[in-house]
Amino acid sequence: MAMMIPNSFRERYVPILGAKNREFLRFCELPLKKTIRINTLKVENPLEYAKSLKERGWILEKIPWCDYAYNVEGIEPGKTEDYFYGKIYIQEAASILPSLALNPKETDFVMDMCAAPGSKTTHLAQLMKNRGCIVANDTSYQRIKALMFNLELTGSLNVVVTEMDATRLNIEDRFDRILIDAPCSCEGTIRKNWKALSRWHPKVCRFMGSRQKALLKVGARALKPGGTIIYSTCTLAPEENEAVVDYGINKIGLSVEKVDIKGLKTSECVTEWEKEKYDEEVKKCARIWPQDNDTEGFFVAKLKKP
Amino acid sequence: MKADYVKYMAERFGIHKEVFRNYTFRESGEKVYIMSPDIADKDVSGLRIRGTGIVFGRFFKKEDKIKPTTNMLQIFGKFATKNIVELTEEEKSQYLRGFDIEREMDAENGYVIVKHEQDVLGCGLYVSGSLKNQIPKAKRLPLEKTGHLEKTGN
Repeated sequence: MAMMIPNSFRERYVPILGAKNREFLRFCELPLKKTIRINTLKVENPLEYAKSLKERGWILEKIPWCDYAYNVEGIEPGKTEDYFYGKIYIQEAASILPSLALNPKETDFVMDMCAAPGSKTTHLAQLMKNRGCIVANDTSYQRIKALMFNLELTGSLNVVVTEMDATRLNIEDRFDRILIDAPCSCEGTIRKNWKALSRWHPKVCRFMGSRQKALLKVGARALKPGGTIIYSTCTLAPEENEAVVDYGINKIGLSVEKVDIKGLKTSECVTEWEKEKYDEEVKKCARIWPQDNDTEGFFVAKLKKP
Repeated sequence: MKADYVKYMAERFGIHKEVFRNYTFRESGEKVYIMSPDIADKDVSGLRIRGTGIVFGRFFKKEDKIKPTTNMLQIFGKFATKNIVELTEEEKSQYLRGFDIEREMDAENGYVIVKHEQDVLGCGLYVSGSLKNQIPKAKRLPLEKTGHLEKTGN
């Protein structure tokens, strides 16, 4: 498996990690744990339900930052009756963070700009107790079909599904909260899919970065004044993370708030990368290396519109 | 329209109409969608909409017939009082994998709610002595028995 990590990537984060790069690479090669999120739209008492799963022989380990998510061992959760009933949803432990950070109110009008296959959308529906309204958007009908399947599976009833190129969204001051879980170079997903880096190149990161800035710009426009954007990726590339947040601060006029999630270990954000300097405010974002919490690599930023 | 679907659920399954009081229904072709009420008053102009809520069922105009979906019954089936068929553990396992169940059941011919203890499996079609499987193929469990992984003995 080590062979699948390109040499240029092995050295890429030495300037940030220094001696810790070795540990980073070691974690990149470790298989990823399977995580389930208990769907409280269908399960009334997740704690009791987890107990009943254990009694049935499931080996569960609670995710520190989420009361209703567990690592699972010894079972393929996607082939169980619990999955069939929509009581559990299979979702990587780090990907539970964006919806938690967005923290929607039950009455909110929310947009999930890059929604398919719906992990975060269905989590948002759960947090909103099927009230309010979520516009869940994606670009291709193929991906939207997967999104709809998951909405039906989980019983998410407060979602409007749209098919648009989100960068062409032309809406002003409408949503209370927006989630931009942006398409990215997926560096952080190497543990789930060892082919994730097969087409990796720094050029891809720069290209994705420009797309992500465009997404943030239209998202900020669609947001109500005083509203919140969560910008997240499953990559570690500063070009796609801190650089995008820096753009949000200095080119769009957004402000940054601290991402504060109890039980989550985060690392310092990058303020200097390949001769570029980023606003010190980016330090309020959550940069998550695979070795921090034994998850995928991930990045979460919380932005406010004045 | 909403009244027709609510009436069907009451007459066929004994689900009280109050259960659906706060939900909105929308028709699109033969599909009927059910959604949370808060959606209705939201400004969705300028959006290219592909669906809202989940599919409640299909309405076949010619035959004046409603076919409820498994996903909808998993949410609302717990309020039913009739045309419910209760499966044994073994039958449940078969049904979730796409098999029909052949035996006399206490239900009228037509669509039924398939249950095992507290769990609603979904929709079934009961026709005199035979429960025809209505679980969508993409949703069925794989044929091997459980999700538990074989011990590899390392």
